[in-house]
Formats: sequence, structure tokens, C-alpha cells
Amino acid sequence: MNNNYQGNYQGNQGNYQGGQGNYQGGQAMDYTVDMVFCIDATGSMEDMSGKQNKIINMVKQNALNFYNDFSDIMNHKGKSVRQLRVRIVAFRDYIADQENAMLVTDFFLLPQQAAEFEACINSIHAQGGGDLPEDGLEALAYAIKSQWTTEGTKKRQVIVVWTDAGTHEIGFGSRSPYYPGGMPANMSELNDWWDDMHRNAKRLVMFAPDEEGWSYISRTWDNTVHIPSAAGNGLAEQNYAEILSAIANSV
Amino acid sequence: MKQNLPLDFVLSFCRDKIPDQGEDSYCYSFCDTAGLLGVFDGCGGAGARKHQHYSDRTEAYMASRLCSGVFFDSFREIFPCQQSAEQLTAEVFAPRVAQRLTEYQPPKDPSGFQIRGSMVRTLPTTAAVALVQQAEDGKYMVSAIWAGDSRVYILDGKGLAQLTVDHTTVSDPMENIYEDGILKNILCSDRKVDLHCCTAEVEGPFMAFSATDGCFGYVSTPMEFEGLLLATLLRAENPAEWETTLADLIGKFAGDDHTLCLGAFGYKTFDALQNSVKERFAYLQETFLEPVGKLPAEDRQSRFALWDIYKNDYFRYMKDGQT
Repeated sequence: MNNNYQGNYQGNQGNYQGGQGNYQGGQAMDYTVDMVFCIDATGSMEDMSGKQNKIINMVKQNALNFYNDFSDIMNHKGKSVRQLRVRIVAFRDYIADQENAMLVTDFFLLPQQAAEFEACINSIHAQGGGDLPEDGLEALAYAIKSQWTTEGTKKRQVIVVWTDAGTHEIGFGSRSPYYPGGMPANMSELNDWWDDMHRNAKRLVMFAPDEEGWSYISRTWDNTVHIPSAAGNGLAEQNYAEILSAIANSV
Repeated sequence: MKQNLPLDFVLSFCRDKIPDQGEDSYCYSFCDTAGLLGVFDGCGGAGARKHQHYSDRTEAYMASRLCSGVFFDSFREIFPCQQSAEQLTAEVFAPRVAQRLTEYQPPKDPSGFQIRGSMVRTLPTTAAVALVQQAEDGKYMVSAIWAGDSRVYILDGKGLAQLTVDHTTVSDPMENIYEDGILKNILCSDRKVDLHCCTAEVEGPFMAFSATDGCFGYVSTPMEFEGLLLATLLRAENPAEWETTLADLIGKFAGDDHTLCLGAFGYKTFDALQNSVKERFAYLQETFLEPVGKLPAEDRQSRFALWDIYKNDYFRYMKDGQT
């Protein structure tokens, strides 16, 4: 009795000749994608094993490649990206680095502003930072409060963090005269900021060590992908492809 | 005594968006009095991890096939049976899915590398299964068993009707096209398996089918999905041609793998099936497709106004409070 399907349609009587059947479908949907790259630019991002292997250089290269690779994989999947913009937040430590603690740019429209974007990435140098935890949460706060695009059918707001260190508590650097106003008062408020982002559009990708701050966010915030590592250092090519695929498929 | 299920034909396709990298799966099986039509969309974002153990396939690929296998094997083992779809879901399908996914947990990567985060799951997939049973009074019971955003539909002379409610942060089908809701519930091995079930009583003849979101998620309104179905049906000479032209046309829009599994019941001939939807297609075209076709892409308000009219019929099998 089981699985005895013998599809009993035998005919070829389908003789509909009417003019109604020429409908070819409606409009395909397109995406607008905004990305914010939060890059740890402290001295620890210099690697001990020589200039060629500096973590910061790898991160800069990854940041430059990321939007190209992302665009390629989206196109490959037939997802039409109508507009892609990228913004950079390079962060250090307000107490140790004072006015050099945070570099924040506007969005670059890509590929139109690719040269400016590349020049900006290449201007980042790993230096300073003081103690090992850095002010990564303030960088994340800047990223969350970006002027996200309101255009397009389907929107995506992707924040990518590269760091080799855990985070200070938010507000740790507030005694610095260069600490910005309007930052969240505590982690709970930063959580609220994340909750207030467009819940279906937001994604957070962290190439960050499994340390307090990042691991807490990985566990408790929605829409996160965490690659526990020192800023993605040591990832094999296949791992990178997996990560890219995870992000593109979630978009 | 129950009559035999008057199956006319089965139509199915499972198309990869990128050749050989697809993560959808499907299954169908029939006995004299019941049929099962299921689709499974391996979640490529949540399940992107690849394993040598799985011949370098992703967990998403594996999960859709594991779950498809559970439904196929269970149907073949259990049917014909007297249990309701709700009972079967709770007592058979859900526990067996959980067991199968646990048994096939992937080994840890020897390098220690592992993607984590709240978006990442182990062996994640959606499921949408139509279970069609002949009722005593000549009617039919069509049950939808599902988790995630794959859907079960009924299509007949009154048009397209959705049976499932998407398990996403945005459950309205029209709104979800623009908002792309995040999945709230999927099948995976690191969360409790939560399969939902609902049943509609249907008078024949009718078609029932399950579809992954690649089929319906890339047109600007749900009306256009019905338009694709009926236009290709009316143009086809036979079920095989309908299957091909429908898959081809959906493929032009889809930004994802697209899988659909459909059974037609009680029409007797393809001619009769086509005749049963001609009037509906004329109404659909005049009332919805032509107006939508004239709208500029950015005019969502007018699309939503048309959707408000369309959805009364579209939700005709939903119980109060379900939508």
C-alpha cells in the first residue's frame, strides 16, 4: 500500500489557446546594502612575526576585499544590489590615545568612490591603545548610529568588526576630554540601541576574540555572526569563504 | 468507507540558484487515501558551516535532506492511518526530526574553527509539508505541517490560498516581501523542534502544494505569484510542460533556490483543470496584475491597497487570529 503513486494523468488534452496566459510576472526585488567596518587600529594589531604578516595589513586587505567579494557573491546568487555604501570606524583607546582614539568617516558610495575608500583604509596605522582591552563598544555605538539609507526595496545594514582584543566597559574612557557626547551610558543602553535598529535589516559580524564584550554580544544580541579569532587572523581560505557565504545567505 | 484519493498528477521541481550549491530538498509520497508533498529549505546563512564528514556540503544542505527523509520514511511506514495530522506532528514527525538531527550532529572542526553567534544554528532547515487525506464525506483534509518561512498553499478556482503562517519577525506575506523578516523558528539540532500544524477542509477538485521562499519571495506582491502559477498553467499543454515553464519563469525572478511540490486532485483531465481556473485568471489579471504592472516600482502604497482586497480570498482557509 505504501508509496504506490502511479500518477494517473495520461492525457495531453491541454489545449488552452486563450490570450490570458501571456503574463510574464512582475518586478524583481533589489537590495540596498550599507556596511560599517569597525577596525581596531591599536598597536597590538601589529604582529610580532614581521611586516608581511601584520594583522592590521591583513584586516585592511580583508576590508578592501570584503565589499568586492560580497558584491560578487550577491550577484552570483542573483540578488541585485542597487546601492552599496561602506563607512569606516577605526578605533583605539580614549584614555591612551586621546584625540586619535576614533577615526570616523561618512559612507563611501561604491564602486564610484572606491579610490577614496581605498585611500582611507590605507591611511589606517596600528599604534597606541595602551592596555589590551580597547574602546570597541564606542566604535560599535558609532556604527549603530550611522545614517542608514532609507532607499531601496530590501535594505541591509551590516556592521563588521575586526579586533584582536576584548572591550573596555562602555564609558571607560569618558574622563578623556575627547570622549564624545551622546554615547550610551552603559551596556544596557547599547543593547537598546541595537534593538532599535531595523530588526530585519541589521547584521553584526565580529572577527573578534572570545572575550567578554564580544562574546556577550555574540550570545545575547540578535542577528550576530561571531568568528572567534584575533581579527580573523589565521583563518583558512575555506573559513573565509564559509563566513562570506553565511553573511550573503543571511542577506 | 473512505474513497481513494483522486490524484491526477504530481508536479515538482528543485532548482539551485547556483548550480550544485543548492540547499533545498523535497519529497512526495502517496498511498490510496493520503498523500504527502514536502519542501525543505536548508538555511544557508545559519548553516553555512561545511564539513568533510558531509563531503564538504554545508549543514544547511544536510539538514534539508535529513528532514525530508524523516517525512518520507515516516509517511511510508505509517500510512494509511487514522491519526490526525496534529497527532502525527506531535507524536511522530517532531520527535523523529529531533532524533535524526541529533544523530547526524557534525563533528567539531579539528582546527577548532567555528562560526558562532545568534544567527548560527546546527543543521538548520525550514520545512513545509502538505498532508492530503480523503475525508469520509467526499471532502478532503489538507494539513500544513511546517517550521520557518516555507509555505503550504491550496490553489483552485477561487485562487491561491496560504495555509501556513510564516515563522518570521514579519508574518504578513505582503509586508514580508519588503521587510524580509528574520526567521524565528526553524528545524535544527540545537533548539527544540517546534513543528506547527493546521488543517483545512477542502472541497475538490483542488491543487495543494508546498514551496520554498525562492518561489514566492521575489515578486512584488503575492498576487503576482498566483499570476505566475496560473499563466504558466494556462499556457501549458500538459503537466510536464507546466512544471518546466513554471520553474523557468520563477527562476527569472528568484534570488534563491526554488523548490515546489504540487499535487492535483479530482480534475480527471488537464483540460478540466485549466478550465477551472480560466475565470479566476481573468479576474486576477484585470483586478490585480494589470494595475500592479502599471505601478512604478517605488509605489508600495498602491500595492498594499490592492493586497488589502486580495488577501480576503488568500486567507480563506486561515482560522480567526491566525493571520
